[in-house]
Amino acid sequence: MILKQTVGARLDVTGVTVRFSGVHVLEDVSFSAEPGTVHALIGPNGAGKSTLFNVLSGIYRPMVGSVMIDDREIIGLKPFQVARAGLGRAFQNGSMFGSLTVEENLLLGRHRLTRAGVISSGLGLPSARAEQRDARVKVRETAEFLEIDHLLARTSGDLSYGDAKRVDVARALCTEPRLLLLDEPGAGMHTREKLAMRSTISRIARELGTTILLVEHDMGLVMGISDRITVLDFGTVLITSSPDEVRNDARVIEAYLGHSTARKGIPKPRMNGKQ
Amino acid sequence: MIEFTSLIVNGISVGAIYALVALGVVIIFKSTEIVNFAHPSLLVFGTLIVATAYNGLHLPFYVAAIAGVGISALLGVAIDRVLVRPFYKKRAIIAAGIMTIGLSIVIDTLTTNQIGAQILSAGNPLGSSTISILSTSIPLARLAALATAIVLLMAFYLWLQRSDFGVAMRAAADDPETASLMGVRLSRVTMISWAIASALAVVAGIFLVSYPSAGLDVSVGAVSLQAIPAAIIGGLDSTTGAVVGGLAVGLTQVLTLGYQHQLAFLGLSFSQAAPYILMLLVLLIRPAGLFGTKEVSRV
Amino acid sequence: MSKFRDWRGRRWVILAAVVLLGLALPAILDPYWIQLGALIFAASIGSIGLMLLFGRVGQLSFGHSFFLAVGAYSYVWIASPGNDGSGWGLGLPSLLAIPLAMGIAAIAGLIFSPIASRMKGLTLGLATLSLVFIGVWLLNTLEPLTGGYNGRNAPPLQIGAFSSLGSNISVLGVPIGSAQFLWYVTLALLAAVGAFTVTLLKGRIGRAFTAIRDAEVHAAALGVEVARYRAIAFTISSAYAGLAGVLLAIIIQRLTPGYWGLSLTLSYLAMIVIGGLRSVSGAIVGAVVVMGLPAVLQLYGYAIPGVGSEGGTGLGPAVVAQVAYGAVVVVVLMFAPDGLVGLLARLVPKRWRVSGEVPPTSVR
Ligand SMILES: Nc1ncnc2c1ncn2[C@@H]1O[C@H](COP(=O)(O)OP(=O)(O)O)[C@@H](O)[C@H]1O
Ligand SMILES: [Mg+2]
Repeated sequence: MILKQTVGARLDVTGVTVRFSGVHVLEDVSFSAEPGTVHALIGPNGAGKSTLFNVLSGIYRPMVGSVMIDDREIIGLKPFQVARAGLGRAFQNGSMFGSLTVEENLLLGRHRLTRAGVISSGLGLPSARAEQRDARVKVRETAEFLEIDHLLARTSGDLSYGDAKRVDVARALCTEPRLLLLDEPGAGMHTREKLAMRSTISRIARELGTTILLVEHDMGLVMGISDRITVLDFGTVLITSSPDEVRNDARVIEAYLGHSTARKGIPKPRMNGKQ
Repeated sequence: MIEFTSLIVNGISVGAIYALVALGVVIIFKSTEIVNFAHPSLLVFGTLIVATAYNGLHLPFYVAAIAGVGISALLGVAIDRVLVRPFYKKRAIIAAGIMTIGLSIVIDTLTTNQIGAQILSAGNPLGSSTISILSTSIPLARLAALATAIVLLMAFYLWLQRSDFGVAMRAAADDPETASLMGVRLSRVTMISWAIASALAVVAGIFLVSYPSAGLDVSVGAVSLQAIPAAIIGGLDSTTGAVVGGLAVGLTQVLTLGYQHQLAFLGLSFSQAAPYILMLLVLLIRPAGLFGTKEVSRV
Repeated sequence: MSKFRDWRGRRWVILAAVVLLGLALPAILDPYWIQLGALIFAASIGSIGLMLLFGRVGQLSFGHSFFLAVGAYSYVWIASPGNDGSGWGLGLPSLLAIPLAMGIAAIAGLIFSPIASRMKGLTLGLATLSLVFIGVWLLNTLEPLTGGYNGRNAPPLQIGAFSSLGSNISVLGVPIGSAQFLWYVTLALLAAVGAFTVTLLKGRIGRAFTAIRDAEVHAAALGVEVARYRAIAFTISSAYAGLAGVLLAIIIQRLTPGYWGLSLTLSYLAMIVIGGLRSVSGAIVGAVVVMGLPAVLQLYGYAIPGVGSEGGTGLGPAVVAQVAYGAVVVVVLMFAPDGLVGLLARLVPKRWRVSGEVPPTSVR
């Protein structure tokens, strides 16, 4: 039993600039991710990684710049249109629909791949039931692939942080994305969970062919599975290269070691998943 | 032309009264993010106290007025302490708003029942005297309303500017946790807000029922409800907005009523719907109201 | 597995009992209660609509009484003969007028939904507040349609030999008078609306609704068209309100503009708050409380100190009922934000709960 394979999308980010009340959060950001690869995006807290993800998924609109998924410009599309263009996303902070079960959360991942309308759904017509059955099967397969099938019946609002992150990834995967954005999937996990997440991510890329854009602070995880790495600092790209070159790049070391102590005091922006 | 001028003057003076009521809604919203739907009910309640003290207990007008304002302010504080407090903790803003609807049903029913078919005077210290401005005669009571409204609005504005209270109020609503860490005493801020807002409503109520209107009757509740569209038109978190919204509603109402014969094709009750139509139009163009601020959601 | 079957079985027993009770009660009860039952069933359809919109999608609406009125007066217009001097009428069969009137209410909702989908939560509630006042103004103004200030009669509902004005026919020994007829018609429609809603909310559309309510941005990131689903919910809610309005018109017979004002909207809001915001059962329980309370006090209020009878000493049952339901709204929101049904659900074992009714959580 294997999930449906996809043709990973190519991502081209060109000259993206975002400003919030006069402060440049992203400045002329450009890089490309090759189809079917794991591309990491790293940088200190506040570098603008989540903001870039918000641009990619259509939540923020940059002042200038272009984002192409394959040959399609997605700047200007609404978030749901971007999702339909094949972009899936797991969020930095718990994004469960807390009153729903895990299974229902994953079924929402299949929303864009299902059709049932108000009438057929409300009347419980055979077409709607069959579609729902199929979706359930797909959801179970995805859950098994990510080894979270034992959680399906749980209320998602009650999950532990680590479990919620894995369900979030599974839900994004249920949309059958060709490009998957993962925002700090290993955050708050202990070593064993992190190892599992690491193998999950590489399996998604290798076995399903999905292109993955990964934001992660754990350098072990990043270096181990990434094909390419883009380093972001203060909203600008320092370098896009292979893990080995990034590891040895002077500017990266400077960015991480040089300021990291000074930056520790800066709190992460408080995120509210319920907004 | 004379008619137009007098309508404008009238509209402004009525609008100033609405502005006072709307200001109360805004004050509570600014400090708690709760829309107090019971605000018009508080107006009627307080005005009824004044009328009862004046007519029933035969107290001098100013004593009755102070009693009404004071008792309503206390009621406002009690509502804040007892009824609304549990909602602050949960940040259940909409639930709290709906709770105030339940509260307004209770207060309205009781005051309406108490007033019955009566038309109660809440004291008319200025009587029915009028003065003539721009060759239109204007009730002195209306001018007094306008003057009082201007003084109170200015005083409140200056107080917000000069004291720490304005900052504390904003902080309380924006981010209660951080605000309390910074030493803002949230409970004091919300309590004072409710007290001031309730007091303002009664001051407005006294003017609303004095000459040229006949007195406090059961229709005053519906009239004072117009403070809600006034506050929304201006923007729920803007004191300037409350003034503009109040004037807009006052003018709209007085003008549509004044020209109802020219507007006959719209029906005689159009003036009652007009403020709400205005509100809908404003919300369509600016969902946060004319002077309201819109917040960006973060992910 | 056996546990599952067990639970299933019990569910059917409950369902069968409810159906039997629904069919048999009119044979036993006094017409006063039967008529009240019909009013409650009709109102329940409306409150289910508001529950779906506010409880499930998070869109607050004060405009419900507007759409109730659209349904009611559309029915009057379609079913009135039009040549009896009472005002406009198409003279169509009253049975056909019901779905048509419901359709018109849905279209009215659809027309408003570009606004409804742009705004959310409280802002939408405030905007829809204007619909109430615009509605009352229109009802006073459009005299040929509404009879203006003095109101207009709603034509009776005629199904075969049965009529909402009563008939002499007995079925299985039960004489089908006006009240009995209204009871069966409203109950059948409530059952249909209830079943449709439960199924809808359990499925793809219902999940999208909940996702939008819980975390709009995350829903959009999964490809849920937030604006579209908000519009859909608003339209469904308006259609239900329209149907409820039609039935209310048939029951109360004479329609005056004052009835469709702010207090009507607030009573529907009170229903869903009191019963429970997130379930069909909550909406129905709320309708029972809000509609039933005044009727019960009317009959038995004299026994409660301070209530007295209408026009006599004491506050009178109508006033007490009104105060009580306002107070219940306050108390429920403070102490049981998931309503009476939620309160009950905490006492009832999990396996007894009807599936598809999401465990209620509090209002945010
Ligand atoms: N909606 C917003 N309004 C204002 N500033 C924002 C907003 N979103 C993010 N920022 C700011 O942009 C910067 C980058 O944030 P973010 O993208 O979350 O960084 P990262 O994910 O790399 O830690 C931070 O300084 C943050 O405060
Ligand atoms: Mg981040």
